[in-house]
Amino acid sequence: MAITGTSVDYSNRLVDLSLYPNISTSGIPVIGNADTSRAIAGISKVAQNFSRILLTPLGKYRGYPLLGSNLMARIRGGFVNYDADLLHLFSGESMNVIIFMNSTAPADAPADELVYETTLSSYSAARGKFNLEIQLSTFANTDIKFLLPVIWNN
Amino acid sequence: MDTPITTLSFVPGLNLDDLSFTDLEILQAETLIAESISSRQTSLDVSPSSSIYDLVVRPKAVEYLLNRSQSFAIQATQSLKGVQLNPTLANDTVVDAILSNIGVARKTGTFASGNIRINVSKNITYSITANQVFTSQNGSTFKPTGAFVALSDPGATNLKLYATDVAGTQYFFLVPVIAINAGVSSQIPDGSSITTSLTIPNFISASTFGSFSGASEKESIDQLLLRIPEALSAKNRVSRVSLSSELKTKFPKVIDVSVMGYGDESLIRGSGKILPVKGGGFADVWVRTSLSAESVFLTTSATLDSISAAGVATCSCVIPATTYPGHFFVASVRLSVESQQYGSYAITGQTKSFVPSGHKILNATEGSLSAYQTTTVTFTVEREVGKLFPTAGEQFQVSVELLGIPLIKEIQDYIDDNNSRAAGVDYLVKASVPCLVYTSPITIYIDSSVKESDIQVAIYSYINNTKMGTPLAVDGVVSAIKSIAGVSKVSFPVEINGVVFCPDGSTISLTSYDSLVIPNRSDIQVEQSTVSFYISTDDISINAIVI
Repeated sequence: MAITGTSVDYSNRLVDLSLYPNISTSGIPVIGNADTSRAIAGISKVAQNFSRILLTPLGKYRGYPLLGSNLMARIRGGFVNYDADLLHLFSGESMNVIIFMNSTAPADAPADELVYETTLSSYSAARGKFNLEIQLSTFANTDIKFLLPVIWNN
Repeated sequence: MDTPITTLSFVPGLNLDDLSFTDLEILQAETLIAESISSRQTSLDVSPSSSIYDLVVRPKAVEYLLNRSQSFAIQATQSLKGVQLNPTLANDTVVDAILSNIGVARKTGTFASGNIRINVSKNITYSITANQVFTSQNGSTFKPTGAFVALSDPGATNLKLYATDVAGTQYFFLVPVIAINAGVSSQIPDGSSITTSLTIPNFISASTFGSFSGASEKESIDQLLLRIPEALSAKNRVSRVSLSSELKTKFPKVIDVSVMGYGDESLIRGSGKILPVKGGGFADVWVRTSLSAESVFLTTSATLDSISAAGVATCSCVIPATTYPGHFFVASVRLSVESQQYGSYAITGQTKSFVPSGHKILNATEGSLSAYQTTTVTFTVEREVGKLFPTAGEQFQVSVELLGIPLIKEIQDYIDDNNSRAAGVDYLVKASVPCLVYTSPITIYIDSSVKESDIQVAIYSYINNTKMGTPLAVDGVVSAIKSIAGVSKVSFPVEINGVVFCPDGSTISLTSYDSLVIPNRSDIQVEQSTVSFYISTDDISINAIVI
């Protein structure tokens, strides 16, 4: 069954619950609570999982020591003083997340659900919050860009 | 990890957290749950990166593990074997529930009771409220058995205020009290100093009047398990075990039963008068109904038989069979309601006899410790200067302290009941022959967390739970001491002593560094199977060294 509103045929795809609204292949959505329940697949699912795992503290879950990242711990720990710090931090942590996601993906996962790379396109900082603009590419040569707000000063 | 999951308290004592399980167990459970979901909803992504994994699989896996763990626990607690294989499950509730299936109930601890003597300086009316708390030096607390008023003319309902001397400079009254907490540590000895929580006017001092008794510890799981064979046996009078089982079921206070019947040397009833040939149809039922020997005080009339030239009066009184059936002996004669003026008392002898009954009893030894024994006690009273003194032949009141165990008559009556008694067997119920035990100082090395009273209670429990037929082993005493956490070592030798108060009125003294073995004196009904060991906590001497 095709997922409504997409241009990709998602028949026979494994779907996940959508936690965030408006993650799509167009525009720059803002991560937040979903307004309505829906199923997602493909690059939207990957983007959601990437952002969720990126914000999950590394080692939080028993049995999965490699699930999660140190991004938030490092930001809140005062490791980011310069632009380069954030770029460097994001690169390293996102790479670990990608490795985890791809290594635990089903063997028959479609190419647009395997992450090729992520980049921090830009970011802005204001009033204790980082807005991270992330571009995620898959092995199917599809891209998605989304905004990930991160509160760091609490 | 403090999360809503850990604080949900899904099962009492077993929170919804994953700390009880290994990483591998969690991983396997998550895989199982993921496969379960995936098999039902084939289109759902349940890979470890998915949201569903976070939202459903992870918590569901912990729930699954907890439920499985709880199921195993329930499965294990359905049998005593399972409980014994899993000592962590062997809590009182589980064991009690299992044993209730076969009609076995744990004996709960009982409370020590006795009287406290309050010394006051004026002859006025005193009130003791029910919320008064008396505290002994070892920290045991007691409450009055009710609200009391004490005065010199008490009438039928109040306590009597006694004058301690002719001059009337000091008075006292006795308050009946019961321990607030169960356990033998509250069995404090006669004359122990007591403090009060509420002020008593003209108060001088307070102390125990007679040793406190009647307390027992709550039955341990091990002790409870030992009773299972009897609980499962038929409850009738066919065999020793079944009779024991019947009595313990009917009288929960019965701790130990030893039946001496046909072929047993100590059964002297039924022997021929001329030839020592025993006929059948007789059995002595030796019972123990209390961990500790009880002190019972009663006021009775004594007669002054004679007065020596030195002014020492020889007196006597009789303890009838109905007063305290089966009592061991008279422990003391002292001041009583009407005779407090006379002087000091010393027991010089006591003779046992018996009253006729439906049972074949030929002599005092056979009737001793049964519901049909009587005791005549002789004692001297030494005149004290300034105190009144009776004349020859005069009767006066004394307070007599009897040592014994309860229920002898009640058990005899039950066995004799027309509706249930065994045809053709003459059962005579007797209190087991007492061997009163005391220890020489035992040197024990402990850390600062150990309380001496805990050691005393452990020794007390071991000795007083030793069954008839079993020697009292020093090994057992040492093991009881070592069972207390914080005890490092016990110095040897450990000396234990005992005095057997034989049915014929004689005594046998025993001392051993190994085990107290009762000598075979079946001619006076003393042998291992008729004797029980009794010790009170104040007869346990401990030399504790903190290291």
